[in-house]
Amino acid sequence: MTAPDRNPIAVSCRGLVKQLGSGSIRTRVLHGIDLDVFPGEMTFLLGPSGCGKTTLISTIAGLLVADEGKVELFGTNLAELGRRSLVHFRGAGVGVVFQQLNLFPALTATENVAVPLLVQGRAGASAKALAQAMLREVGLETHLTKYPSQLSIGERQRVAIARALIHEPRLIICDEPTSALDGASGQRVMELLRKVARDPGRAVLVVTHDARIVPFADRIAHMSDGRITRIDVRTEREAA
Amino acid sequence: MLGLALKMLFGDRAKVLGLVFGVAFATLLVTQQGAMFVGLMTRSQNIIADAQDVDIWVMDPSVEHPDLVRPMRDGELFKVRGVPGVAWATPFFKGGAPVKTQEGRTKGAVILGVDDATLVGVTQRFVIGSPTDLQRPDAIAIDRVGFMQLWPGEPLSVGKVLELNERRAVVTAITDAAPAFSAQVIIHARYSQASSYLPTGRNRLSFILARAMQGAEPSTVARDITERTGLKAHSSEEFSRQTVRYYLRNTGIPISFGTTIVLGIVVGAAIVGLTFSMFVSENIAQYAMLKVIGVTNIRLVGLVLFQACVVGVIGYAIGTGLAAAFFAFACTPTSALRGFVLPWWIATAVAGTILVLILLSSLASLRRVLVVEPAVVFSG
Repeated sequence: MTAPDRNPIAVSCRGLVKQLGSGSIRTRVLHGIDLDVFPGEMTFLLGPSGCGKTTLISTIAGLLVADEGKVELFGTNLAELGRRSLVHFRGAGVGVVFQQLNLFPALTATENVAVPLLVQGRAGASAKALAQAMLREVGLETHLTKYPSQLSIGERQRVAIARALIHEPRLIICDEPTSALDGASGQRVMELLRKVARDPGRAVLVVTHDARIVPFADRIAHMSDGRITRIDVRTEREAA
Repeated sequence: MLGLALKMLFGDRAKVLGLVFGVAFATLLVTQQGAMFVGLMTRSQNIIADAQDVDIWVMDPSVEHPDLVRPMRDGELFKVRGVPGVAWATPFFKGGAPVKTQEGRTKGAVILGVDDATLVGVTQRFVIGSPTDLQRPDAIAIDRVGFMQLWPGEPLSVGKVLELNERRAVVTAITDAAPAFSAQVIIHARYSQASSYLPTGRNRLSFILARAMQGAEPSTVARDITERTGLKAHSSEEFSRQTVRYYLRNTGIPISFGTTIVLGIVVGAAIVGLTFSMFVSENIAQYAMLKVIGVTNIRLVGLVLFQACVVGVIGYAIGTGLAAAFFAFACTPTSALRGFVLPWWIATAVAGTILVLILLSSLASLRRVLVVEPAVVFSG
């Protein structure tokens, strides 16, 4: 795990505006979002479909560029990074778990998890060893050489989480991480993410519709029509 | 990362097969047809190349290539010998006649008559016997493939008797003469004897073969011959080039081969372009995922080009291998396609063509990879 960070805010969004589409169908999806995500916490983003949650996390992850406003990750203003620097910053500092998982079907579980390390230039053998260690950590020690098609959905989800964590990013963004999982598997995945979020140098931002996992949240931002309507801060006991 | 690129590529076996097939198809067609074309053009000048000591060819002004002969008067030979710079000049006869074995088998033959005394112009490649065997009565030398066509299944041997326009000829030597354009039986004989096999008028001199004196430039001497005699004269190299130019301009050969070659490239490019485009489309989420993970556009371009080059190399190797196998098995020294080979420079040129084909075919796909927003991974 990374060393504790002195920066008190992991993600800071101020006046964030994002429009999607072009011409007459160009639509404003985010209407001046203000949001803070803190290290050592698990922040949930809740809201109905189409309210802009995915656009918001895409912008926070640096996958989309804000039209107005500012996004800072651990004190770095994304708008000030060049295109190439942004790619490197995102690759090193952000881990993303997608609802669709997006595992590489032709790679084994180990190879999938090793990809972020290989992208950063780590040697193959070392990347593989670290990937296997990470898979053991998420309870997949008997599935190291299996392909995604040979794994259950819950196992694939854990591979995706291992891939998001392998390069020790400071921000982990999860899009509906439990939507395809049964209750028990969902609980295991959330416990794993909570363990990561307890690292004071890292923050976890979760987008979900799944009411079963809300108790894991330290902070809940409610979204509606492209705006943050309310932020609930849960006590340590509530979030336990 | 290259390992990842390879695994992505070979993870989609159907597309890889399609891509390799497209490249192999284009390579085979372009290589085979290109080499056949070069082989045909080479054949058209084989008679010139086989006359090794000769560096000037003299002919009637209307003659444009060795297969079109307009006989000259025998006296022209003496005029050429009198041109300054000419070391020596000899007569050369070329004609065609049916040849018949005692068993009754008939074939068309090219008859080449060389100077009775010096035998200048005869091929130097003898399988059985030697040029001097042409000095014997009724002697002819026949090429090995011609022998096998006239006496199939029999071992090569001399002493066989032939009928050439109802005149007797005895095989006294067997050559490995370079095949003529029309791939007929090739017979060498003395000039006096060869011309007697064919009904000719007063004029029977097909060509005059000459050599420039030491230190004299053959092309300059050829120009002097033309100026002084009114005959057409070329150095051997220039006559070869003119022969090729004649076939390129006056026959359908270049269009026929060119069409096939262009079709090979176009069809190959279409197969490769469409298949690669489908491959990239179906894997676009994986490329987007790589962007999310931190792969820059430049590295992605390298990755896609690497994938394209891998299928290019495999397809090219298969296509060239098949083309080489064709020339190895179909163009044996005893077959009608003898002399056709796969020149190294054709294989190299095709490699360059395939590289361009691959790069062009990848361009459209590359653009799609470059413009894909990494955020598409959220929508799957």
